[in-house]
Amino acid sequence: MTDPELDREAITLFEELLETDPADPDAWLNERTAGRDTLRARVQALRSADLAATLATGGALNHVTDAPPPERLGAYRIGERIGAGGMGSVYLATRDRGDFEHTAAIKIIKPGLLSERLVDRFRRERQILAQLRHPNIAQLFDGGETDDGSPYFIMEYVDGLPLLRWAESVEASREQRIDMLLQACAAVAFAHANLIVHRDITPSNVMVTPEGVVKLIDFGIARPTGLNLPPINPPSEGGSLQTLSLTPGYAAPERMTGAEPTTATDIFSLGKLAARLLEDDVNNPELAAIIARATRPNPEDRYGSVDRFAQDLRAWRDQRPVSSFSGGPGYAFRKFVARHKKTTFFSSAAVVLLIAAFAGTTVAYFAAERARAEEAQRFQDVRNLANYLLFDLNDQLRKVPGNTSARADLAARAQTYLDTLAASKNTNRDLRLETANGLIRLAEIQGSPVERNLGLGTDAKTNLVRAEAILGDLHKESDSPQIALAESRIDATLGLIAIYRDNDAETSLDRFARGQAALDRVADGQRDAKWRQAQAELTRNVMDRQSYNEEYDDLLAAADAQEAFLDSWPDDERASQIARLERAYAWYYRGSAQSLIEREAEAYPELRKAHDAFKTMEAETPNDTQLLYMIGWSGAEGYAAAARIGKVDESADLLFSARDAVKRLAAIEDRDESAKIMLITIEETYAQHLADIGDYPAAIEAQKHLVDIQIADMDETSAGTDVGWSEMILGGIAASAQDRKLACDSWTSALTRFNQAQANERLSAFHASFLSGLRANVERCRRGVPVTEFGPLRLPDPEESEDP
Amino acid sequence: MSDPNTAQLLAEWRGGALDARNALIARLHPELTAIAAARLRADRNSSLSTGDLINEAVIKLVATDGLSLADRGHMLALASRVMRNILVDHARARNSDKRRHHKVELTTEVEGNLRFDLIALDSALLRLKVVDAQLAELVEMRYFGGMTVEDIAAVTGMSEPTVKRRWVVARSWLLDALNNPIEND
Repeated sequence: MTDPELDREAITLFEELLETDPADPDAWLNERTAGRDTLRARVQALRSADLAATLATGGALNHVTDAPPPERLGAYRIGERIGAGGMGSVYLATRDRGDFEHTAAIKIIKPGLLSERLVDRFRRERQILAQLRHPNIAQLFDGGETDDGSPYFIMEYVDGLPLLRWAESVEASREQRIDMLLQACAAVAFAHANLIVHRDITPSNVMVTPEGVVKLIDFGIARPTGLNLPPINPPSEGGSLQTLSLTPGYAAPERMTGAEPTTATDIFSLGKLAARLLEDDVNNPELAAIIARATRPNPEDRYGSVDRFAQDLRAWRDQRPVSSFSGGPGYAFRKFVARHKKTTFFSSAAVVLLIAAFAGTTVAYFAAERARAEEAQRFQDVRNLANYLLFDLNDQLRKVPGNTSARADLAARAQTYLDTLAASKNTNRDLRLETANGLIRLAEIQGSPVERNLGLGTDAKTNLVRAEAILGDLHKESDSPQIALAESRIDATLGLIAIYRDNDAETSLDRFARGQAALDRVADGQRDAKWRQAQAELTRNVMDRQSYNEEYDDLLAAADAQEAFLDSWPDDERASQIARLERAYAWYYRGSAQSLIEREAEAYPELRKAHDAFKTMEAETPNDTQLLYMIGWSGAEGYAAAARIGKVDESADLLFSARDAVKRLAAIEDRDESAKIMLITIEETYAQHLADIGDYPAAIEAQKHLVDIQIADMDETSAGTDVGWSEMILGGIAASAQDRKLACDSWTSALTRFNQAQANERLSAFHASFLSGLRANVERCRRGVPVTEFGPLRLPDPEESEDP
Repeated sequence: MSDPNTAQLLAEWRGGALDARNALIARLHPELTAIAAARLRADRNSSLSTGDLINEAVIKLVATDGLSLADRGHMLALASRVMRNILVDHARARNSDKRRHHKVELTTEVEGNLRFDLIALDSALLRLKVVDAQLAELVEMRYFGGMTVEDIAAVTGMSEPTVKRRWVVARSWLLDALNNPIEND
């Protein structure tokens, strides 16, 4: 996707950089590329490749000669040199002191190659690294510095081949390759659970022994953070040059910004490794989706843990549906369904974002590594929490949808860690902010109506209120944009819970207003990309509330404002995936609102635009569940709006597209009830489409099928309203087809189910609003009234008949 | 000696005669094919290392004709291109008669031991040619022809520091491109 013109510019600039050899190349480059991030990134990519080449070729540009190694280091006698590279040399070594004798590999780094920071870090982490014992990790025994100051590492000697070389030499099958990847994943997951990040997973750091056992080498010490090689000068402390030491193609993009590596960084590299090792299969859509998710540019969009990635690889190998997210639907889902049924049946929607902020796990926990040096207690607590939330919780979420006791246990454990943090008398502001963000994230997992949640709304609320108190105290001491953003997140979630769980319109209105006030508090000069994203997200949630409450005028105004706001973003942000997504939502809500106030002629093009935008984005990130949901809803509603103004022909493709998207969604989220229910809703619309175009036999057959599969799916816990609903629609189609008997049978059965549900107090207000119309028609059946004289199923109530 | 000698052909080619270039290629081709075949047979990993051998072939060819340094450089540059074609054709043939993707790698000894997938290298070079044809030629001369900076400077008329600098750029671009391949090239 590189643009030759841009490349030419980058090449010229890179050459100029080499020629000028400025003291601070980063600053030089920033100056020369001011405002042109793409160009800068391109030049940085070239620089990074250059450094990698220099490393790989042993420093061809500047031969640093290896000093002869000492005869021994500690208890080890140094033997033959078994490898050499840009960083230094690796020697075989024998331990010949003490009780036992064994062979190890010693890596001696050329002096000056490792930055002080990395050496420091290594000193601190040596104990942890040495305790990292796993069959797939080449163990680190010790390390230190030689007399002349070269850092060295003594590690398990691995007699094997680098991964790609191995695959080639044994002509490895797909199964063997996946097996190696899974072994590597096991090693990395184990390290992550101990809060060690590899930092530079590449094919050459993954060795395979002749027995077919993977050994990851160079954990935590993988690469120097800066090199004294021309044309690049030594990095300034903490400077972004450390990023240049990464292996191109395997290093995650966030590292180009100089960000500290996180577990997400390793997941990115594992994704690239999979792409390389399984390159014969990369055209397989499921594998492509797995790799795409692992290597998303934004770390938060990647798999939340290595285990999840491994799980999907395994699923793909075993030809099971690849399912990244298969948690059960939240309690709020019934409401979504009811509302969407309204949408598609009456072509008038009040719609919800049902969608997940399938937010990856939070950055706060990744920060644990950073915390270590600062504060032992803090480290321990956050570490426990990180282990827990990053790994156990995510795993459990994936594995046990519907298992209430397990989920409750999980939340309780996460809660314990956070309570410890909150209770510590620590006054460190960062720690308190982290704790608040941890509580917010936990609350979202417990009960945010817009993501797969545990249905623990009360706990979620409690945690949000506690987070709010912590942030309130911090705010009193001094305000910061981070505090404001966290507060707006609390308000948005509480606002959503108020609508969906508590039916408390007033509180939700108040919460959204407070969320807005928090964002408004951030001074103009401090409103960065994060702030803008938070603002757009808050507005989206507000639109959701307005949609739910059928405040259509406000909703239309909000959609306009949201679009204007997105227009005001800086160029690069405006073109970002987030901006495109928010814009598509704005179109969708606008179309939805117009459709509800019966302005279908305006609604249809908006919904069409939204649908097309979601679809384009989905083509870029295939099988993204959020996008599939939105293709489904915008397509189905767009079709319904068009159908009402007689544009059945030109809108039929929307229905088919929605149907296709939701079928895929149901296949991906195979354990997710919500996808199944949505599929039925769309199939129902399809049946009505068949009736609309006069194909009554097909329409009746399709709808009967839906009734049948739902009856088959019933159990003692079912309220029966879903089946009743489908029977009611079948009756309507039969009436249009002049099939009096089928119409009357279907309606009678539907009425029986609705009455039963009402007796059990399980009939929603939405369904109840059909009772009187249904009763009237069943009565007409009994009286022998001809089918042409049947009345509407939903009798207008005074409130709804008002003109908006 | 009815054939024109290599020096003559070179002079004609530099004067713009494509026939002369084709005649030169025809002269280089058998020797280079033999080198490629020998390397392929000998190396069980199907890795090819070319540099010195091409040099030898060219030297053999031009020794009797008494070429100047610049002429030798031009011959090497031409040989580099011919070698690239032979190797890429070979790699394609290998790929097409096997169901499994069978990699043929080029090992350059120009610096360290970089190994490249030939087909990937070739398609990256095609892309580079669009961006900056001179850089693509530089890679060809260096990786396929094993030419020294000195030789390249003589052929291209650039100063040696410029060749070195351009070479760093070309190599960086190439590595980046190989690590971020365009799908369905």
